[in-house]
Amino acid sequence: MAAANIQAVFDIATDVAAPWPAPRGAVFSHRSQYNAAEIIKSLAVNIHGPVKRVGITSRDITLPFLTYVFGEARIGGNAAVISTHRLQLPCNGIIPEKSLVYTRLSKIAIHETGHLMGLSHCKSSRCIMNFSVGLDKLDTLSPVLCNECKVRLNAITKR
Amino acid sequence: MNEFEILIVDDEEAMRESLSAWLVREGYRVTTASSGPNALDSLEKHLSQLVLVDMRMPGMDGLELLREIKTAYPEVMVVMITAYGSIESAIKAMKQGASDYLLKPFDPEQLIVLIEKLAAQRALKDENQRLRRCLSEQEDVWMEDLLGQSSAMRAVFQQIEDIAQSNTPVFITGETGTGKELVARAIHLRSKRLFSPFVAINCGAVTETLLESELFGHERGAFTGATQVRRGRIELADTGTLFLDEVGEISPRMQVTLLRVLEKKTFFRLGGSQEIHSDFRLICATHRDISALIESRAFRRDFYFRINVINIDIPPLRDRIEDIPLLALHFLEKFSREMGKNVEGLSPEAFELLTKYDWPGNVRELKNVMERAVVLCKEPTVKKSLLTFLRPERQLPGEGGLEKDLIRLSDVEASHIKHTLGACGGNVSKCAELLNIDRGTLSRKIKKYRIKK
Repeated sequence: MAAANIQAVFDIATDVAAPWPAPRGAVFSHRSQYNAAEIIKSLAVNIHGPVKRVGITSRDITLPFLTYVFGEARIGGNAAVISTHRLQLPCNGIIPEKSLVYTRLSKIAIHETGHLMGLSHCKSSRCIMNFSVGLDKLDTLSPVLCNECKVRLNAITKR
Repeated sequence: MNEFEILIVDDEEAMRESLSAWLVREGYRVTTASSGPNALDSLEKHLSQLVLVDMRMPGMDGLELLREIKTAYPEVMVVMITAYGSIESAIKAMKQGASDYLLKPFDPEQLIVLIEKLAAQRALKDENQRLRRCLSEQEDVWMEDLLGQSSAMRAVFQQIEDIAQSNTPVFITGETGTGKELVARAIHLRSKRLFSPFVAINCGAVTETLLESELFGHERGAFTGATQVRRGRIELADTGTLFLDEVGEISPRMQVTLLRVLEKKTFFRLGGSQEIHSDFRLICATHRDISALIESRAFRRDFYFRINVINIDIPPLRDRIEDIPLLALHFLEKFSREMGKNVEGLSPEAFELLTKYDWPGNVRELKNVMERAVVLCKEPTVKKSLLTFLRPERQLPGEGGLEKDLIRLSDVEASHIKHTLGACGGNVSKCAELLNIDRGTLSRKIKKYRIKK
């Protein structure tokens, strides 16, 4: 589903790869969380040409200075990682439906791929590249780029 | 890309890299340094607006770096990043000038909100500085013609400084061309109201009906031609200064209306029913002899007492001859620069001529004379020949030549007034009656010719 949405939004061919092992030393033992930066480094190994790799994990991921992240990617990087861990946590005692979790996952996948394509965060509250903190905010975003981000993306890809 | 620049200082490469990448995604310009000394080197080469400093670093620790940054670059904002265990050091850092601190690990929202808040603060500070620079430039432009070394002008400058901060009404008197509006603006620019408007109106330049509309504004349909609501000068001066120039020209009827506004600070637009409040400081000015106007009932005594709480009397230029060379050179340099000419000074004879002249038009006249001189001057020095149109009013002892035999109309008038006043025993009203002129006019002429009663 993530691959289909990435393909639809960015008009690029996608493929689903075989499972990827979590890198050793990527876990913050005292926090029971995985270091997203280390996972990205591992995913970026042996990438040749204009290929981008997006990893999806059910583990909770974060960065050394943050409490959590839904996903992580560097601008113009080769790899990104997304976690479904917090996308399926119960909210007010209600477990979210699978379809909602998939929608959230797709949105994060599009957002992180946008970074890989060279886009930074967008100020438009409707754009998928808007920085979303919390699931409530994520649920309000449309899984599409705003016109400004489309123009920026067009300029980047033409370079 | 955001113009706000951030320097990250952390000895851990992973931390530097991930925080940097994260902030770049937010659109900020980011540089990194692995130690305190490296950070100081980086700031020396390129000044970031915000520095994120890890508290624990080998060698120079976060607190030491904070002190160094605040000493060398006090305008740079510093945010300390610390672990939960060292909250005491974070508080210490805040006392030493850190803008804020973050306890690791922090929520993504916390970091973004904090940086956005600091960036907004910085933008506000920059805007504030820009406005202050703008105001200071504006002040320079306005104040550059208000020059003087004479004791009389020094007293005026001192008075401006003394009263600027209060809200008391000021009444500026002085002959035409002495710079009454410049003094009014100087008071405004030195007051707490400097960021608010300075609204000036020349009461003598408009008819009474127009003045009423100008001052109070009008509602739509208040009179023929009032097609839309218009805010008056009093309303526009809210939180600022209202300058009524040539206040002596206001009719007694209008004075009554204004008196009510000055007392209550509220008024109605013409044709309006809604009371409008305006908090303004009032400065009035006139070149006329107000006491004579009061005596002739052309000016209301109660209105005069209301506006004349503090009086600043600007001396005429002829009474401060020592300021003439200073002002002449100032205008010469100003016009020379504006016209792209190389006029550097005046010949001693030209200076002498300027100091002998009576300057009935005061500083404004001197300014115009210097502008004319720069336009016509073809040499670096303005010679006396360019100023001969100025007939010296004041004869120095032992001088005269051809002009000595000529009698000017003003001399005849002064002599006649002096003679008649003497015959009336110094009674101005009686003298005015005999001369068949208005008492106010006579008082002005007595002052002009400096005739002792």
